[in-house]
Amino acid sequence: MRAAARAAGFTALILIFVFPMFFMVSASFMSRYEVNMTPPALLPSEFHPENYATAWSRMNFVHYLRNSLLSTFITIAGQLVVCVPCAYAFAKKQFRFKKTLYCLVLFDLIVPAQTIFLQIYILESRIGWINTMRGLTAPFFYSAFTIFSLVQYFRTIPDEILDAARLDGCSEIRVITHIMAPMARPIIITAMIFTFVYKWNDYFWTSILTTDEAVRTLPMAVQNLMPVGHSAREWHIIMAGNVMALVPMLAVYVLANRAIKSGLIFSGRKDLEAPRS
Amino acid sequence: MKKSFMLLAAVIVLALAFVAWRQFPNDGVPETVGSSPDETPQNGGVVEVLFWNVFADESSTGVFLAKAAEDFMKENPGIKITVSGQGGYDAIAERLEAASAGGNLPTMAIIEETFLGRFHPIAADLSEYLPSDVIANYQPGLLASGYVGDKLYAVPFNRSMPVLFYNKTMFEASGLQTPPATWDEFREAAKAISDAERGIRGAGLCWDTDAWIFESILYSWGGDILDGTNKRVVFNDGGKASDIVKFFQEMKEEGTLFSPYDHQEDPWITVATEVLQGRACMMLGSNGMYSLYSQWMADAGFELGIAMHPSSGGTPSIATGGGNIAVFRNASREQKAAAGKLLEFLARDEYAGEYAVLTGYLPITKTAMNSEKLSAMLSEKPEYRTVIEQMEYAHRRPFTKNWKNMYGIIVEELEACLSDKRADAAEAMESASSACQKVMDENPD
Amino acid sequence: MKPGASARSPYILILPAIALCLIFSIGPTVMSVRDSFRSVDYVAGTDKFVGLANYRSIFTDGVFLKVFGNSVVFMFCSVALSVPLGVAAALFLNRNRFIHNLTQSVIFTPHIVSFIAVATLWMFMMDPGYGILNYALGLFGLPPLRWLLDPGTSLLSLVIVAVWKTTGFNTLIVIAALQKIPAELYESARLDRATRAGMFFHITLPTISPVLVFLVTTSAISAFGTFDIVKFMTEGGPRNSSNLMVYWIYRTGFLHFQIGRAMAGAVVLILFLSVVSAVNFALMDRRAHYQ
Repeated sequence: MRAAARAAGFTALILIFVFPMFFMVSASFMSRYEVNMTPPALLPSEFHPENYATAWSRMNFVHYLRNSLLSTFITIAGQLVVCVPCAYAFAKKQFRFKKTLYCLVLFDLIVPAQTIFLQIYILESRIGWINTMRGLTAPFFYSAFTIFSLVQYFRTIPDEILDAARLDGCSEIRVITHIMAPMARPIIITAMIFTFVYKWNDYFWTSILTTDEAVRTLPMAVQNLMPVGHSAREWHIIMAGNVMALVPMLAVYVLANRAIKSGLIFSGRKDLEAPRS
Repeated sequence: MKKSFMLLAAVIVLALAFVAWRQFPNDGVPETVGSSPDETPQNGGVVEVLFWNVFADESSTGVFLAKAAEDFMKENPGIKITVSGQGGYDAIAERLEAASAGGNLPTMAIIEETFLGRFHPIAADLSEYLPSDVIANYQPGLLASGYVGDKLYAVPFNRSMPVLFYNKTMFEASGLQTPPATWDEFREAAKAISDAERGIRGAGLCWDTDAWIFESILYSWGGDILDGTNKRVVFNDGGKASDIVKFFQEMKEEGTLFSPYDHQEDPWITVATEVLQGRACMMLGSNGMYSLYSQWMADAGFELGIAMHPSSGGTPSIATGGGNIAVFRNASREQKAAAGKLLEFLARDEYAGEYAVLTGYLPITKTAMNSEKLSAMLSEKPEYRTVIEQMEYAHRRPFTKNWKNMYGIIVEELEACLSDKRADAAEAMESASSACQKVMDENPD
Repeated sequence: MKPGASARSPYILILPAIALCLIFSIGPTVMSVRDSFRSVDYVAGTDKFVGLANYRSIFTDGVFLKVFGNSVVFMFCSVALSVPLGVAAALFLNRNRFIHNLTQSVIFTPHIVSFIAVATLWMFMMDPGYGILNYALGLFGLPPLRWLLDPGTSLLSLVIVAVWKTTGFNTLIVIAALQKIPAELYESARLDRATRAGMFFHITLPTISPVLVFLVTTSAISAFGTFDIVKFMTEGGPRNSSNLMVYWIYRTGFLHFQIGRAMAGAVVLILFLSVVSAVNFALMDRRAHYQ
């Protein structure tokens, strides 16, 4: 009885979460007629891998892939430079106005940037950052979420280790790069993977901060597969485009699966956490 | 903790003070000195013109403009034209809004004719850049919407009117001969054609995403959107709009009208597919689609018929539509002059005629009618003349910066009325009309 | 190390983050507040003070109130479904066996798929004609739904999509919290003959509650930031039945060029979210003290 319930649980979870993804892949190999069939076909009756070729050329895939990779990695590098030292200072240093400044930095956690996008757009167009890679990445070097999670974790690292390093004559930068970063590796990796997911999949900001195709990223390319004006939706091509945009992300996820989990498990609130030695 | 919040407040107040004296980019810029030097990199004396096209680069208009630009650049080696497809009238409007905030406008763009009510403050007076004989040669009915007061801010390009398309093969098979001229005849014809057993309906109706078809039906019914003062919303005065909606709701219930609003796809493509594949017979559509539709219909083994927009009797009154080209005043003088030259070039008989033949859009100039290609087409397809004759009955369009906002409200209600969950026509149109009036009152032009 | 350097260095370390925060977060917020009291029109080049007119306009506008209500319903439904589902799935999957780990990874996958892909995929499945969801309903003898096209179901359809996308993430976070509960706690409870339900309510729930509050807060805030699926799947329709705040701001400010009204809406949203966060964080602090 219990085993049956358990099996039912697994089946339900997998069905709900996997089936749509499976269907996306399956539909991407169907013919134009099969995707619009009633009752719907679950599997393609014959394989149409040429849908991928069509999507590839129609999306101009390489161009957008390049932009996606560039903007994602620039953002990650930027966050490492901006957020890690900042989190270190808030976690491990004492200075005046610390609490105020920390409140300020965490402001974004309360107000999602989507509510103020219009002003960010206006600001960027004033300084000529629309349609540039810097316009698409620089605002995201700062992330309240990243800083918050890093600070939580950094606080658990014993001060003595850092003090010892300082006594050995290490500069603050060296303390960060040589002591803090290696010790906080799981959380830094996790935070950067979340940044990767966020930036790779971001549609909102790309659509707001760009008006031409020069620096637009993969989600916009998928959007370009949706018809503008008065022509029919070609779901088989759209699904092929979705799969193609997902593959790099999936690769990162499979590679980093373990790191994500361990990072999540070791992060979290300090008061829940026995300091690890 | 309290101290921190005080400090936070202080920072915000300071920031407020800092931005309070922010300057506006185009505040009080006089028209003729509106050149922004950083906008025009003069590469070895070449004037660069960026032209936003409403259609995609690979569409027939996109291909036509690319070819025309190439020919133009051969004649004018000092000018470089870049035509860039923007994906629709709304997309261009949004990007012009956005670009005005940041000051990175293109040199010229195709805009939907009514949007000039919104964008004339950033447009250049074209009479400075176009010779008067060129201006005089445009079709006056089409040029009218380019004027604000006595200033010419836009000239016609891809202009159209709604016409009645019908599947001639089906129509004649039902024993009908002449296409309906009035709405009552339209309804009768639809009844005659419909065949519930074979799933055939006499007509299909799409209000259009900007309520254009609704607008035209309203004019043909003797109504209007705004009154003469351009301040009062009158489309439902005397329940006119709700009568129109009820008329089509009844047709839908009789099973003689196909509604696209029960489907998830684009409404235009849904209706057009029904008609082109022989499941519906008549539809109102832009004459700009003529070539494309006749091709599609021929592929499906039918013949496409085209006839004048029906009316409620008396003198017909029909909306115009489509795109005009505006040049923006923030461009440098050289850019504006180059843009003017391009407009002049596109108004030449051979190009204006070719474009009309290629797409089915209206010929924009008087003399284009004499062009070889257009006269050849008219002798081959004499019924296309009805479209040109229709121009005489063009009705003034709503000219307000609020139109885009208003048609969004109207379409929302119209769609609800023709969808499965049929909304009450009188209630829907009343609420649309009062919401539109509120918009007009709060944002006077 | 020089004494002076140590006093200055923390500020240098936080300077880049503070600067970016001021430029791209605080500054734009302040500007939003400013513009909400003004009539700003970039095309006409006007910018004048209008007092509370924008606020009056949106609050007398049925659409804004409806959209705000929709957002509250959307937030409430998506949080009320995705967090408990996440907890349930986490309790079920909290084991270190192959099938458990695999399922954990699998249900996390929607989180890494872009909203665009999710939106197109679900639109495809929700098509009233050939969509697979209606086919599935038919298998169970249920009548077909019109999903995104019906004012009665459009918002619910968006909730389903949002829950599908976020539940896996919540599950993973809760599993992480569960694994931090020392096993001895359960063992001593078992010795005291505690029931499973008793253990859940007396050990598990109190221990993971700060994480739950954190999840509820962040999911609520991100539910209010929902844009992509609205823009893609319904454009807020039919008749604003699925319109949410950020899309309303986008449409009012970007498509209808009423920047003042859009900003007034944004300010109302910001105030509302500040209250939600303040309540949640206060709750979290109190909870944390109980530990």
